[in-house]
Amino acid sequence: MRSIRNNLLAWLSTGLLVAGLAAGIATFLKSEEEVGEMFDSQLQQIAYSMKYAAPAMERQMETMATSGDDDTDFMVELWDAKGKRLYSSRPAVELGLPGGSGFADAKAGGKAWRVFMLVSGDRIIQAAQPQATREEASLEMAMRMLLPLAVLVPMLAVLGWFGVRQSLRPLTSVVAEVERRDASSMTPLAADRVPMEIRPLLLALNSLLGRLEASISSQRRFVADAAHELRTPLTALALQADIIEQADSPEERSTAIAALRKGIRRSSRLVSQLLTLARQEPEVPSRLEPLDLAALVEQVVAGIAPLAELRRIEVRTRLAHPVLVNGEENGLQAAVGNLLDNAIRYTDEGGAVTVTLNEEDGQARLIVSDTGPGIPERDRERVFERFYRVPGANVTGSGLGLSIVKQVAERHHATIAAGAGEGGAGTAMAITFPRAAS
Amino acid sequence: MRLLLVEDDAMIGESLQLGLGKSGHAVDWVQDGKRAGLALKNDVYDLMVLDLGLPGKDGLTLLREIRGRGNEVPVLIVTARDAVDDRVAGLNAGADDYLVKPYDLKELQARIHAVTRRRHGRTQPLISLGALSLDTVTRQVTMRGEQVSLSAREFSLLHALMASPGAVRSRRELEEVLYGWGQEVDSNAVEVHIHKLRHKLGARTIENVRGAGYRVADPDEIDT
Repeated sequence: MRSIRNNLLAWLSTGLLVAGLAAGIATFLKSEEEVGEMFDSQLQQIAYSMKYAAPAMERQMETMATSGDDDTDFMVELWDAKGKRLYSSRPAVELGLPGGSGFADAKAGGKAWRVFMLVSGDRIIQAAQPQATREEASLEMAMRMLLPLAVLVPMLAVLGWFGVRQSLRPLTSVVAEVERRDASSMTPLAADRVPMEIRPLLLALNSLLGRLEASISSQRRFVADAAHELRTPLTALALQADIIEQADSPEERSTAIAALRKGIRRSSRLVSQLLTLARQEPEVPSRLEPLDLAALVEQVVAGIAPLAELRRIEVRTRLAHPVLVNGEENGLQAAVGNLLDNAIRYTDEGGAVTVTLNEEDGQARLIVSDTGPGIPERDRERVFERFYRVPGANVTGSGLGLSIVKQVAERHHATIAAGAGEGGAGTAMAITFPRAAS
Repeated sequence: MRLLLVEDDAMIGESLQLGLGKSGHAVDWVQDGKRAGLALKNDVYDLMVLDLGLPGKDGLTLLREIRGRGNEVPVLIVTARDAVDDRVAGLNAGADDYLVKPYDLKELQARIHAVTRRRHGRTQPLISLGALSLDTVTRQVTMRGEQVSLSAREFSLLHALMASPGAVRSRRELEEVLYGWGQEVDSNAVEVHIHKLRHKLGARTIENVRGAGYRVADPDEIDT
């Protein structure tokens, strides 16, 4: 696993190492140059001082020759214009005349030398020094300059290690806080005292916690509502069973059994409506695909025809073809089915239900209207609430049909409105879909 | 007993009316709080079975209102709300008992009887007058230790008379015990049932107070 700390430390130490090396090399090169310049000027001075000493040297050549010190780094030579060496402080070294006047490099006696030649009248003065001496001196100088750096690099590494650990401490405390939580605790994490690098993560986490809490509490409410709503049909079933038990005649018994069957149908309808509603929860991800709403409506109308026939209700359709919307087939089927089912159930026998589908300005609009009793204006908003039933309605519904329709509409970013039917009588439910993005 | 059933669910209402009616209660059924309030003005009910989740005016509001008006009718709440707070709220609003859905007919009947017993200051389900005793729970009637078989209506009539021994109950009152709204009242049903009761329990058990109604006889009278 990648660790931010190890990563930071690796980068930091690599950086320090590279910087140290570069500083070392640069220091060495610089000191070499400086030492070279210094020694060069020494050579020059020696040569110039020889210029005045040369006549005396020639006179005392014998004594000077013996007094030549082999340990001295420097050597001096005196030549005549014909190329004859008149004097050498180190006669063993055959330097020759490697260059013209000025500086030159030479090799002699297995060593590299730095040579300065000065021409003075018919005499040539040469001052020389072994290159090794110069390198030694520049290395020594470089080392002196590098010493603090050698101490600094490990110190920076240790400091960096502590610093990184210290800066990551808030992360550790956030981890501890998250670990301490139980599954039901959705209060936001404190984001005020964390470093700004972690803050966005915490804020994102808090927003996720918020959404989770909303989703969980909505599901909890749903389950509680569902359990509560199931009690009513269950009570009816229990009572209907008791009535069968007490029936005195076969006629009474068969009436009671018919009532029980009706109760069972009602309970199963409630359960399947609850399931449909759960599937249309806003938290369940939706996948919208382009589909022909007209074809879907025709299919649903065909499916509901037996119920309409049973209740002697005429279902008329006025559909534009095709009407494309971005939709989810199952959800839309449930929604259209519920609208039709409601219209047919709440309309008196012999009435009519009209389904209109058209497209205006790129917006698909589905209207289901009936010739039923209509919904009082004050109830028109509330009918979409879960388990709300219009007072006084003599149809035993689940109270879920229209909330399913509303949820489906919301998943399609569509709007739903309840109003009066044609000519102000009955009910009209209208779903308006958003303009389909091409 | 004459019961007022306040229940908005049609299936439950129908079943209860049928089931409670079969055991000899006269059941009037209304589906909302407003109608219940109107019905209670008649003051003929021995008990009200009240569902809390009603359209319009909810059950608790109705209960507080009628108690505020001084109506003391025994109230049994039936509801799908089972949280402790809901029960406490129901009892505090003046209910006598609380029954949570789903329930069955037997449990409801037992609660109805328990509530009425408590209201009449009795903790025993047995009402005895001399040699005659009536068990409101098992719905058994015995005379000198022998079990007497009664129909549901006969039992209800006898129960109504024995609940307040010595008091005269008019024919009209007794009819209300037997019939709910919309049920066709047989003009001489009370007389017919009293006649049958006398036949089964002895002619002296029930006295006819001319022009006023009927009452159960004194215990001494029954014993002879």
